[in-house]
Amino acid sequence: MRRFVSAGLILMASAMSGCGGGPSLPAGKTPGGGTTGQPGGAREALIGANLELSGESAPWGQDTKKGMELACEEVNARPEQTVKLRIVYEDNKSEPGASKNAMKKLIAQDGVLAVIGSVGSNRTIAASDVAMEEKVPLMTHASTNVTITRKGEYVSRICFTDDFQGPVMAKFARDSLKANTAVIMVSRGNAYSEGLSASFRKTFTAAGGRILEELAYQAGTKDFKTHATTLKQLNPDVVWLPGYFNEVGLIIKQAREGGFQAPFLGTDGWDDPELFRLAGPAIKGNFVCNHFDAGDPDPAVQEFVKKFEGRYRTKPGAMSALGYDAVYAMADAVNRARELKPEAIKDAINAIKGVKGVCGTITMGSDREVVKNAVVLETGETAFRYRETVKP
Amino acid sequence: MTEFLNYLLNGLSLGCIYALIAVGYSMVYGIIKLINFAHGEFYMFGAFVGYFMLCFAFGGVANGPDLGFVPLLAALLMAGLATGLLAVAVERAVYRPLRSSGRIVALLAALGVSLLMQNAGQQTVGAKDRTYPHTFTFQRFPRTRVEPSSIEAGQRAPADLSIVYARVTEGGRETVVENLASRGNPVSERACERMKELMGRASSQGCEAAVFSYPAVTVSNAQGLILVALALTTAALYLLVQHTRFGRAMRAVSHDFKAAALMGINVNRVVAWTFFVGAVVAGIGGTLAGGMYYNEVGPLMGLMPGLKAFVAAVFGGIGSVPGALLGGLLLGVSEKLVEAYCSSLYSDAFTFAILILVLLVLPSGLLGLPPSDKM
Repeated sequence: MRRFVSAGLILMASAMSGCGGGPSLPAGKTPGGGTTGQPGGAREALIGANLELSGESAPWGQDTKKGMELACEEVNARPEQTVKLRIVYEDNKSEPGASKNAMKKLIAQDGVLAVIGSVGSNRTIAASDVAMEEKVPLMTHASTNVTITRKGEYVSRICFTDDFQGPVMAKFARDSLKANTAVIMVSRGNAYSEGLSASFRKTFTAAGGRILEELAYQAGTKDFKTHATTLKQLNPDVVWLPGYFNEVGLIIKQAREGGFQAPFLGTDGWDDPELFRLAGPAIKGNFVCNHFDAGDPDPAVQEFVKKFEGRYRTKPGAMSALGYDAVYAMADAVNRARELKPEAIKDAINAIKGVKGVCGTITMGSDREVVKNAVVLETGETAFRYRETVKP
Repeated sequence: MTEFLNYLLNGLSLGCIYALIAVGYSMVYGIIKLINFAHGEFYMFGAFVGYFMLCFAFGGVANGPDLGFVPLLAALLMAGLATGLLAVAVERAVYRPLRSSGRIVALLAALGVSLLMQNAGQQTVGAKDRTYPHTFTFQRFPRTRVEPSSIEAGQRAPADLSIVYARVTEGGRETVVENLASRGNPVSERACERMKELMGRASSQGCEAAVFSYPAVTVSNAQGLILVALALTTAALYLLVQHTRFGRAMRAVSHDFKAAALMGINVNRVVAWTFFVGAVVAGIGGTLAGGMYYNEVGPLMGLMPGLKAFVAAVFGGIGSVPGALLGGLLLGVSEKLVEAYCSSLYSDAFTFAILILVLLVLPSGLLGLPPSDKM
């Protein structure tokens, strides 16, 4: 369960990276929570960030905040940004109930015009109910559960969903790895893992591949020796393993110790440094799908990485990058909004077009979802390495 | 057939772990008729003592250089000793004052100790699982050395092939195993190049590297170590119970608590020592299994193995040390076979179905003494 949540969180956080800028209100006015004007007549918009700053998902919420802070400074320094952003950060303690309260507080007390957040899908789902009731737009940077944007027109997302990662990796397996056969290993009862298994199976078989078997495991299992022996016997070209890093690490270690050699393919649930400690050298030579990679040669990405490292002394992960992008998307919407009110900003968010981000270009579709590239990363012995970018 | 043997061997090593925990359950039950549900937490505690010992006394890190067997042995001894002392303290503080209050009260107290230790663990060391410090690299045996020049890209591998090489890192030397090909699959060009690169690097740096081929059925050195540990423990316990004064006192107390006291046996001391010995074995098991073998420690790691070991103890006949060993091994093997031929999702259900079945059909277990024997 915890694993599931953390992976969800990772996804969400990555989607959320924009800094919290909203359309600024005309000087002297404060409707919708905007603050009064700045000296020189620049308008300012107050934006909320509903993030996991404490609790089990705090690493991802805190990473998001770093990306948002960096982006916020950058957008406010742009001359074309006529509406400056100011972001209020609220902690949802990694709990859905607290996320609801954080959302209410941001709207009622701080009077924000729009909210960015959260990392974990269940926190975003909780906050989206408030967004719909209060008619204040919520933009998630990293929550990948497909149902989120179905809540209504006030809820949008700037990252890909669980329905996307499976097909991306199925295509990668067929086209880049030339795999004809695959075995699926699914964490039974985990919606994230089950959903990704189904979407991989569909694309892989449609592309002419064959699924030899679906092996299930339970969250919390430590002994995967039976799975390792069965994998060797089935002898697939690849193994699809949409799971969380704690089991993934043990599965890969024990499979390699048993002499199994084919690559494992995974998802953003693998994204944790502990994966490399758990699996040891055995982790080398497997592939994952992710939102962002710091090794992407794209100059915009490299500039972001440089700035981020200069400020935080560490490389940005997917959450920071998505938080960074979310602020850029929000800044664009606020600048274009016909007035600084939540409803107008909602319309501007839902019409975002061609905003360049470090995780790809953001253009809102009619379903308030974006169409974005995914990066495929190869696992080196101690870190992920950029392999290729996959277009939808 | 070869798969079956592999499943069987994996089941045996899992069974050894269950047996190491089940022994303590059975010994304590044999003496004071207490199901010590905190026993799984003793296993967890031992794993953590070993973890801290390896980290702080030997500078071990996850994924670091090979610490070797001496630190592992030291960690095992320390884990055993510390866990034994903890068990004595728990017995003195909780179980002894409640000994005359009836078995239900003691059972509830045991559940309380178990939950207390789990939660105290989560608050002190944190709820997140940690990776165990690296002591040695798992390798498969038996194996045959193969001449690297005989392996060519595209050729079908007659057996599993892997290259084993040493590399020097900041902290020391590390042995790495990289698989080159699996039996029946062609050797890829990438693997072949990698092999040449590693062999070349090894000869230029004077490190060892060798290519090995493996038969279809293998065991790892880690599995071997667990088996040896269980064999040594069993032998030591046998000698202790059958051939020492203390063992005789234990058997006497087990047979008749009051009569033993009347015969001048210091019952409290015998009970305390029994707790100590059972917990030493659990603590060693924790470091060996939870830590070294599964590579992960966390405050809740004792919960499932503890329950499974309890089933193993009941299966073998609770109160009987050989029964606990047999029960543990049988349970491990049957669990792995259910996983392999039925579904891995049913293995836990199967384990507890065994518990219910044994309680219904064979309440005293496989090797347990029938009640009349104790008259």
